[in-house]
Amino acid sequence: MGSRLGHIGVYLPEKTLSNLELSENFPEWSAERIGEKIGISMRHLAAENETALDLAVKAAEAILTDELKNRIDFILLCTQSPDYFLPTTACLLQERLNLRTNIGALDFNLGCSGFVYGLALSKGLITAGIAECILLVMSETYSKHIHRNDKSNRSIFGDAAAATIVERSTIEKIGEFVLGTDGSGKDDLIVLNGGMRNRILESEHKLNNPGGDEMFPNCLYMNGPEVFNFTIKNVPTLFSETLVRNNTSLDAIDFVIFHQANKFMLDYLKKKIKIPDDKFIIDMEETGNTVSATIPVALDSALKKGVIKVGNKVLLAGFGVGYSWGAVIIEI
Amino acid sequence: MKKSDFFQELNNALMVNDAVLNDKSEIHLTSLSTLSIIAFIDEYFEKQVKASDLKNIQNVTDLINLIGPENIN
Repeated sequence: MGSRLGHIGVYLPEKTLSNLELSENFPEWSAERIGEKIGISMRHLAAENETALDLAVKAAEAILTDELKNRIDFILLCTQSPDYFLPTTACLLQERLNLRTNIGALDFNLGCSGFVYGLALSKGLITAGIAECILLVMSETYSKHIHRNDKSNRSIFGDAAAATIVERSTIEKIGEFVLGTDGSGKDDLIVLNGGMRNRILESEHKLNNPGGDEMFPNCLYMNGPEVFNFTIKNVPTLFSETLVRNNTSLDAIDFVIFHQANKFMLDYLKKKIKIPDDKFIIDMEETGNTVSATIPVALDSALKKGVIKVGNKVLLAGFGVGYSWGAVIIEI
Repeated sequence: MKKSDFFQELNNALMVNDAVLNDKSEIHLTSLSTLSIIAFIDEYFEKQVKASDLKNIQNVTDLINLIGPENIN
């Protein structure tokens, strides 16, 4: 008995933000330079009244048939921009999709490592005999966390949702996982206020963080250079450990999809790890960094373009906020 | 690393290809060039520098001192 990944449904909000529009807001920010360096020309942004749940519904509806709806026996939903503190967004998704009520559902709070963790949880539920057909959804509206004057994060992040089915199969198509966690990186990628430790303040004044950057305490803060340091320290090891854990080599892997953070970071990781260009997927130009959704969005795009085909072995690696990281090899 | 190569690679990292850099050249790091400098130091000197260390960099000599002058000749 094993588990396998099914079709992927992607939803990108209608509203978009181009580099040109960004540079109009920030005249010192060159549209051409943004595009060239970070590999993003456009991002999709959720509308004011459009939430992670709404995005999740649309991504799921793209793949669900009546037959499939009846078979789903678990929902796993990854988001860091839930509709509410409570109830759980996965429970709301069950109701919105008219799924059965005798199923499990839970949210998990991870960012860029979320899809790999979702696969790990799904495989665990299937292997343990707890579930057979899992709706796995990544849905993020990070734009709602970002301050309007934060040009760096506004240029990087986009909103999206991706839904897929992980189900029991006769042959195991999801390989062995390598996972990692280091909470000491918490200050480098954080929304400081709004949880119970720092409840929302009435005034939204700026703070200076120890590194000297502007910090909007009610909004997303990212120490980009330190996050970059985290990735170049950990991702090469994650990559090699994943090959060892799966008793394979890079030669036997058809494609590699890393979390699509930004083109500069991906190009550097590719070079450092010595991954051939033709195996390395970069696909974020029209979506930006959609956090936990980047891997399934890029995978879906590569499948639709016919770049990745049935039978291919693909190494997936997610890494980011937490810090948290994970990788796995799947067979399409 | 030879100093001439260092200046060439630093030019690329700072994206100031037309400039002639020397020890006293001022460095003004943006968010993007900070990433480039971290990658440059990691690639050529196998050393990780913290973003907070780069905040204090004002000129090329400061950067060489951060990397370690013994690594550039």
